[in-house]
Amino acid sequence: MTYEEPQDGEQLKQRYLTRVNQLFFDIKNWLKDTDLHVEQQETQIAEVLTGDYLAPTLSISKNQEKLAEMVPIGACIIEAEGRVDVEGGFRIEHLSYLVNGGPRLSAGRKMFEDVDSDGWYWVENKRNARAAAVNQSSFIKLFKQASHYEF
Amino acid sequence: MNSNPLDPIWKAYEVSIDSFEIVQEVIKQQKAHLFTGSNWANQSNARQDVVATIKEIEALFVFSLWATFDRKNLQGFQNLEGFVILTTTTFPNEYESLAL
Repeated sequence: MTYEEPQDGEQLKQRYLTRVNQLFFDIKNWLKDTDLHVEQQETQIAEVLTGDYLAPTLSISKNQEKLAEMVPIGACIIEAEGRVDVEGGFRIEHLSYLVNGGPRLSAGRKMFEDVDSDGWYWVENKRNARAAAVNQSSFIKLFKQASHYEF
Repeated sequence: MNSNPLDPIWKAYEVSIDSFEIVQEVIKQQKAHLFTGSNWANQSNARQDVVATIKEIEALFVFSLWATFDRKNLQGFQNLEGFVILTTTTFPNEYESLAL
């Protein structure tokens, strides 16, 4: 992984918010033909480097019952350039913005073999975890896993 | 025998998360008799409490992984010949009050 000079907090925040907004735009698009209701709200994030700021959240529900909420956690994450949690009624799954092939182990070996381009990845919470690029297919899978909702 | 001290912590985490998932399914199926004797007043509270507990558990397990990893490193350094761990030897005079 190439080393990048640390940027100032405002730049980190803006870059993160742009990526979160793009992710949420995609998710709304992926769910637009379903009978799920998607509502955007806001949450406050406090990080040492960026200071306090507001970030969008996405609440996904059906018939007034909340199934999951997409909650931005922050821009300053170890080995990632941001994290968004998917808080379902049954599980909490994590999305990380990985760059330059993602985290490296000793001798430069990639921690996640499937990270081949910069973007949002669903990183599983288990030993020998895999990272799956977030697209419509993987998002539906993780949403079902977090909420037990059947399409 | 597996000597990785982090494995049991990972295992406990996975079992805990899977158990919470089963509890949430029980709540969803409204098996009220299973809540007799629990600390939850009603099923709505139970669901919120479980979600909050998952978040708390995640932080605790990360802390446990970090602490165990750190302890293992420290033990490794202590076994190196000639390596002195200051915190396990006597404190310099100026730190005596802190040590007490």
